[in-house]
Amino acid sequence: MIKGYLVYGFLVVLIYSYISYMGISYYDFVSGKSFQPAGKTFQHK
Amino acid sequence: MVKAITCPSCGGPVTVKYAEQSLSCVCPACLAVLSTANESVSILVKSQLKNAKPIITLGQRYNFRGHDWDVIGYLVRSDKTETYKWSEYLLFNPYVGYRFLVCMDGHWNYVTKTKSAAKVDSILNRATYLDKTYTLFHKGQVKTLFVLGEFYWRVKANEVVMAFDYINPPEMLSLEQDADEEIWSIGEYVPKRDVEKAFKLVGKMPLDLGVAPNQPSPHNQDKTLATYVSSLIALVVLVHFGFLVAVPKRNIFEATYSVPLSTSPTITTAPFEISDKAGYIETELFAEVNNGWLETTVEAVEENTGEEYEFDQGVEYYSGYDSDGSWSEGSRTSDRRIAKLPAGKYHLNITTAWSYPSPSTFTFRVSEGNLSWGNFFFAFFLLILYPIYYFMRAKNFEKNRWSTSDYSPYWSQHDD
Repeated sequence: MIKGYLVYGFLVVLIYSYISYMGISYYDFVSGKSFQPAGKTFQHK
Repeated sequence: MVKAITCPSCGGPVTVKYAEQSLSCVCPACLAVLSTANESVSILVKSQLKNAKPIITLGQRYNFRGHDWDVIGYLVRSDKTETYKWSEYLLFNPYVGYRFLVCMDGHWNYVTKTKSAAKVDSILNRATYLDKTYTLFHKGQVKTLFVLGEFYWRVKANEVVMAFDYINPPEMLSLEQDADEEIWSIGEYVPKRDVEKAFKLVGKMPLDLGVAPNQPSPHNQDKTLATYVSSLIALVVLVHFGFLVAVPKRNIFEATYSVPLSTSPTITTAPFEISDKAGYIETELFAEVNNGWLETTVEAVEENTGEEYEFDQGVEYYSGYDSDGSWSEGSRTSDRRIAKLPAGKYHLNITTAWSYPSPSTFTFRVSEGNLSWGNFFFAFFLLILYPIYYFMRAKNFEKNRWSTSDYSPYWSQHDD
């Protein structure tokens, strides 16, 4: 169980590092703000 | 040496397996307790008030803890009120000596007499034996209700002694004393599967109830867990502050524009560079709105690929006076977070809408390399969730352990 926690903890750190690098914010999910207009990207003509 | 005697109470045959060591035995027919200390057998107790059946067969030999043991005696004992009862099996090996196997509420202890007395601190309710400290768990009179087999002392049914139990899981240090002597013994908690296997008790084992006084806690990895938690939190702190130091926030665009009043209110900004920096992009909007609002729809256009990223941003601000004095709501500034965009050269197409009277200008600022503290605290929260659960379970286990003790350190539980 304790070793399972260690694996879980490393995953948390990894995901945290990734979303921090990508500029994705937990706060935006909670506040309902959009961190990026997903699905609204399109090719400029 | 095996000795055959005749019970002076019922005349039945009684076999004493270890006649040289045993001072008393019980007639299996009439349950009279007999003294075998002398050549002539005498009656210690003519009849016993209680009766009980041992689950481990007396007279059989079992291998346990690396030695062969003959199970030669069986006692049923209780507290003074006979509320709590337990069984004690006397084990004997001529080369090792005597041991007790004690079963209470389905929990087992392997008990050995100590070679010396423990040192008791009656103020702190502690006892020290072989440099190990034990905490008082129970103090009270112990009554022997029923005996069977043979014993190395003059055993008596209904005999009452004073007993003290001190614990330091998985061990229990016990003192039994009467007017004549003090006997110290040390018990070690034995997992029930070990007893079940060694004494061939499959299907006969009593259910284990509650938490035994010296039962080792399954939550005994506090130090390992504390090391893991502190290491992982340190790692998160290191990553976070590593980002802060390595990738500082930088303004990449800032301009002030007149609010267009035409029917085509779109402004195209000068181009600016977005690098491959870590962190989110923040856009800030400032406009001198007063009792009104300004809304913008922004397209960030990557000039080489033509890729567009669209988002909305606005400000609104209202103020006035009422019977409570002045009031205001909203703000003339707003900020918006955008996740990392691909590196490249961008310009913004800003389309505005406003309420009358319109503000004369608005300012738009873009920065990169921003780091979310929300992520940091959320990661911290995720890391401490399991340790909180673990330590709550551990505390609950200890509370259950001490729930039957008059000396519980958990006072609230004790008071209840």
